[in-house]
Amino acid sequence: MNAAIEGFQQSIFRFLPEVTLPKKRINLKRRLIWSALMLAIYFILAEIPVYGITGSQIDYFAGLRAIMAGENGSILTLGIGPVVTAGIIMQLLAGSEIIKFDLSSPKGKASFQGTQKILAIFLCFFEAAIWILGGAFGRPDSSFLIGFMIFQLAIGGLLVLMMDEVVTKWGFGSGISLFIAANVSQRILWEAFSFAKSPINPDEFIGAIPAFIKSFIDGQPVWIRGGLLPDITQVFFTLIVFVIVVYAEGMRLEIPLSYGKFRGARGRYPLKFLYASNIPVILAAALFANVQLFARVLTSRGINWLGTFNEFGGPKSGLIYYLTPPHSIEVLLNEPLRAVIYLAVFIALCAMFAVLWIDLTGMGPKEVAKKLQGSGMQIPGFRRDIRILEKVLDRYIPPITLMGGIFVGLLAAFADFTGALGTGTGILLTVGIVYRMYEELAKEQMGEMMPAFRQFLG
Amino acid sequence: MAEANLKKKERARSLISEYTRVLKLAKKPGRKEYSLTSKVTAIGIVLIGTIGYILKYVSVIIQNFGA
Repeated sequence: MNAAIEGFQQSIFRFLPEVTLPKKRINLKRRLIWSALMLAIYFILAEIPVYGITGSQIDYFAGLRAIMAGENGSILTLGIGPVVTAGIIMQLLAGSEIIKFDLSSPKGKASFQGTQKILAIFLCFFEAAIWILGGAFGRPDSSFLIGFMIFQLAIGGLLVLMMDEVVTKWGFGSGISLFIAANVSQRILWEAFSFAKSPINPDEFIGAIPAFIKSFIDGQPVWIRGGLLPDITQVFFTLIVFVIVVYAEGMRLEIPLSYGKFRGARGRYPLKFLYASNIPVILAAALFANVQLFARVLTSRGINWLGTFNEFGGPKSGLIYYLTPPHSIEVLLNEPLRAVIYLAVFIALCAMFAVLWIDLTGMGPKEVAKKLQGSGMQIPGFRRDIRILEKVLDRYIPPITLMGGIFVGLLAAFADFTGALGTGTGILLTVGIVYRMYEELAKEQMGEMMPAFRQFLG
Repeated sequence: MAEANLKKKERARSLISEYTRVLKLAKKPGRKEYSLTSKVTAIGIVLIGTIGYILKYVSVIIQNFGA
């Protein structure tokens, strides 16, 4: 039976669109060019509107857009949704051993990646169908138009899947991270500096700073513009969130270690304070988005027990009303109860997801101890025994996992309440991504200059 | 009942003190390291963001021609 599945899987894998690996090692400059090319294509695709949209566009990813990248209404409406969702599902399946993948053997890894790609491709069409059939882009009567719009969104998802592979295999760093950073960085710069006029009221600049300067020159400086237009206070809060994020990203807990074989060699194993980094916020935000998506499907069938929506597509009542963050200070001031409930639920979820993620992805005390033991590390002054390593790690990993999860949740909520540009999660993700790119770049450059040095860098 | 209550409060207090001890223990980034990280990430965001800004501006201009 197993062989039959194996044979069936292999035949499908052969048909999957695949970006071929480069024959020989590409030098750093060429790889940067590949990534820059994918970046430009990503931005251009995000500007190509979907053909066939009638009436208003609702963004089902609204709260999540900073994480999902892409641009609502464009070919890349789904952004990295399908790819990331497929990744999370596979991680949970493998982590919880529902489906056995022995990731050690190359064949096992190939079947894991092959299955993940099949899932991602399916999700491209599935999420596209939810988008269009849910009425996000209006309700065209001709079924051909509906089918064609679903096709365009699915193609957008597939393009992101392929571009991610090009970046990972030919370019530099990971494609998904690049698109997240691209989306957030563009939003911050556009909402802060854009001279384009806003479609809603044509004599207003979209950009917060040009608009503030204009209002300043006109005599009465406008600090809060309200509505959807970004203002100078939001730019101010963006900087505050950025400063806090860079600080928290830099916090480390250093476990003193010594190397068993060489008596004198002392080292430190750095545990990032944001141990589960921003995964908890992504999972919490994704959960909220899916609850809202589910509520939308229910309300379109007339069932309202999850809550109802107002005419702009925003939640109006019920559970979902309390599970959506108030996006500006005004809303926060006149609806404090909603903000408090949202904050409590969101922080609790972030803490829970942090702890869950650590266990599922092998970052818990037991696995890290095994890894350190394997590489010959030990706690100085103690016998070389995995139980001691585990006990020490057990004193540090659970607290920073929980505190890190709560901190990330608080920061994201603070940024959402104050309307920081690019959202808190977006800034948190982007700072982490850009800094890792810098570290990788520095490491590669060192590797490039002294090839012999490269093995040591790994 | 009160005694169980006391134990629970005791455990909660020890947990909190344990967590604050770990928090104090964590190494905060030094001034030099902090300024490096913030400069690098700021430049990275501005660089990537500007490419996006330009391409979006071009698309706005094209759409205005169309309208």
